[in-house]
Amino acid sequence: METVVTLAPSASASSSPTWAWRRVLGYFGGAVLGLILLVAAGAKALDPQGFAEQIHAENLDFAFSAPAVALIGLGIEVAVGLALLLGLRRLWVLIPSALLVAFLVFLTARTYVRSIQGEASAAASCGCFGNLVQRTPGEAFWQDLLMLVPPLGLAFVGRPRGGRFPRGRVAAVALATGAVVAFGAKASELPLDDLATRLKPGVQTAKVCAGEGAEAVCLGTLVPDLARGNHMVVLADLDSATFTGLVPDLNRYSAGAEGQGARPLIVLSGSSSESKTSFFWKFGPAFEVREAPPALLRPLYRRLPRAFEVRDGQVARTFSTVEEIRRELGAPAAPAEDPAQSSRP
Amino acid sequence: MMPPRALRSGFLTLALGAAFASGPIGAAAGQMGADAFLHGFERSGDYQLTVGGKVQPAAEIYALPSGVPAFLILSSALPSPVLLMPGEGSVQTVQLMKILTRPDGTVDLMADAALSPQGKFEIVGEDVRFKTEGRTAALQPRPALLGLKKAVDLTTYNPEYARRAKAYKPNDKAVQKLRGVAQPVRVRVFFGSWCPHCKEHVPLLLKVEEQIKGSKIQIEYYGLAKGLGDADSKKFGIQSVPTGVVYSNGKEIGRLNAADWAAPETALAALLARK
Repeated sequence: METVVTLAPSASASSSPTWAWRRVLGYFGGAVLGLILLVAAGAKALDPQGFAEQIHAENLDFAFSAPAVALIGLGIEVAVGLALLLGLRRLWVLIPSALLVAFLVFLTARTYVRSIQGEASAAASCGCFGNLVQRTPGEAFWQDLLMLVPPLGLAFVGRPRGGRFPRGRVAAVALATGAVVAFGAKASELPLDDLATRLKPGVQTAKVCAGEGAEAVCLGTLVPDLARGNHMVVLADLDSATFTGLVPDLNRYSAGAEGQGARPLIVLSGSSSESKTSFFWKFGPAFEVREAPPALLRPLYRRLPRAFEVRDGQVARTFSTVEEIRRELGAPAAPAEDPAQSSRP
Repeated sequence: MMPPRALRSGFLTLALGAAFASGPIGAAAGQMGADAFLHGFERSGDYQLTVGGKVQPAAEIYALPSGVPAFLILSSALPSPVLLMPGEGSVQTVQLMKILTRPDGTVDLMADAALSPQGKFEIVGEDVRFKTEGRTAALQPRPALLGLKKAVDLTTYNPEYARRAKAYKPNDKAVQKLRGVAQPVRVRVFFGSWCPHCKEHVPLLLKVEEQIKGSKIQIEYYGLAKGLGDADSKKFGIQSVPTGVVYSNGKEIGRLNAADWAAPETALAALLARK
C-alpha cells in the first residue's frame, strides 16, 4: 500500500499552516476539475457515437476515424479526471490536465470566433427554426473558461514534490481508464438508451425543448396532438437505409391505425428539405413526416431510428432498436441474414 | 381508410387490367362513383408545373391529403391529366372526363377511370421530372413568397392556408379582447412559404384576422427566404418562423414565438394585456 503523504519542499515549509492550507486548496481545485472531467466523460461513455459525431463536426478526425478519436479522448478525460480526484497533482498529471483544458477552451473559443464572423451560425442554420442552441457560442466559451481554468490554476497550488511514485493510485487510474474505454467501445450495443438520453418513460413531451427563453422549441409545440391520446413517434434519419427499410412496415401500421383507431404514427426528422423531398417521392410514406430541429432531436437518441409511445403527453415506452420497433408495429422480424449468402464475394 | 401501398398498387393494377379487358368496372355495379382510394384530392400549393422548361401558372396540382400519397396534375399544356404515385415512381395519364370536381373543390377519380402508364418519374434535387405523351414536364417547389404580403396573397399562393384557416376555431374570449383593443396595434408575421410549420400555424392567425376585421389591430405578413440567413431575417432578428412582431406606436412591444402559435389569438391577447 502506498503512502499518500508526500514530501514538501522543506520540512519547515511542509509543517507550516500556510502550506497545509495551500495543499488543501490545491487538492480542492484538482478534485473539482477532476469531477467536472469525469461527469463529462460519463456522458460520452454512454453515448460514444454522439461524441464521435461531435469530433467529426470539429474536424478532429483527420488522423484516425472519429470513433477511434472518441475513445482516445474518453480515455484521456477519464485518466486526467480520476488522477486529479485521487490527488495526483504531479507535473506529469498537471501538464496533461492543462493541455486538455487548453484544448477544450480552444474548441469553444474557435466556435465563438466563427460565430462572430457569421460562419458557424450559417452552417448550423436550417429549416423553420434557424440555429437553435442551448448555449450561445459566447456563453459556451465563457462558461468553459470560468469552469475549467480557475480549478486548474488552483490544482497547481501546494502541489506535492518529490517522494515516492504513487504506484497504487496510478494503477487504479490505469485500471479504471481501461475499464471505461472498454465500456465506451461496447456502450452503443448495450441497452442504455433511456439512461443516456433525455427520452425515457415518464418524460413530458411539453418539457422536451431546445433553444432558450421565448425562442425555445418544444416537442409539445411541434406536435401538439401528443398532449391527448396515444401516439407512436419515430425519430428518423430519412437518408438511412435502416429507416427506409422500415417504411413498408410503417405504411402498413399507419393504414391500420387510420382504420382501427389505433395510435396515430408521426415521424420526426431533422433531415434537410432535399432529403425529405427525395424520401417522400422515392418511398411514398403513408404517414406524416414532420420537420424537427436537430438540436431538439439529438439529445433524444443514440442511434436512429428510435421510437416512443406517448400517452396524453407523457412518454410511456421507448423502442431503441429496429427489432423493437418492428415488434411494436406488429411486423414480422426481418429475415436473418444467411451467413452463406453474406460470405459470398 | 387507405390500405398499404402494396395492396393499393395491386388494386390499381387490377382495376387497370379490368378496365382494359372489359370496359368500365363500375358499369357492372350499375352506379359510377369515385375510386375507392383515389378520391378527395385537394389543391396543393407546394409545387409548380413546368412543361418543356416553361412554368405553367394555370396548372392545377392536387394531392391526397392523407394516407398513401398521390398527385394529380391538370394543365392545358399536357394532353391528359397526369397521376404521379410517390413510392411506386409511376407516371400515369387519366381521361379528363373521368375526373370529378366536387363543390368543395376536392377532386375524385371515377371508379372506372383507366390509367395509362407513361413510365417512371425521376428525382433531381427537389424536382420531380417525368415524361408524358411526348412532353417533358417537372414538378418543382414553388419559389418562396417574399416581402410584405396580405392574407389573400397567402391563401392564393397556397390553398392549404385557406383550408386550415377555415377549419380553425379561435378562442371567443380572446377574440373579444382583441376586438376591444383601444390603441392601434400592428402585428407583422414573419413566415416562410417553404416552412411546414408556417403552413400549420399562420392559417390560425388568418382566421383570427378575419374575425377581428374592423378592430384596431392590423396584421401583415412578411415572407422570408429559405434558411433565414437573408438580410431581412437579420434586420428584424428573426431566429425562427413563424414569428409575430407586435408593434404599438411604432415600437416593438413583444413577439409571438414558437409555443404562442398553438393559439395565436390567446397569446396576442395576453401580450397586449400585459402592456
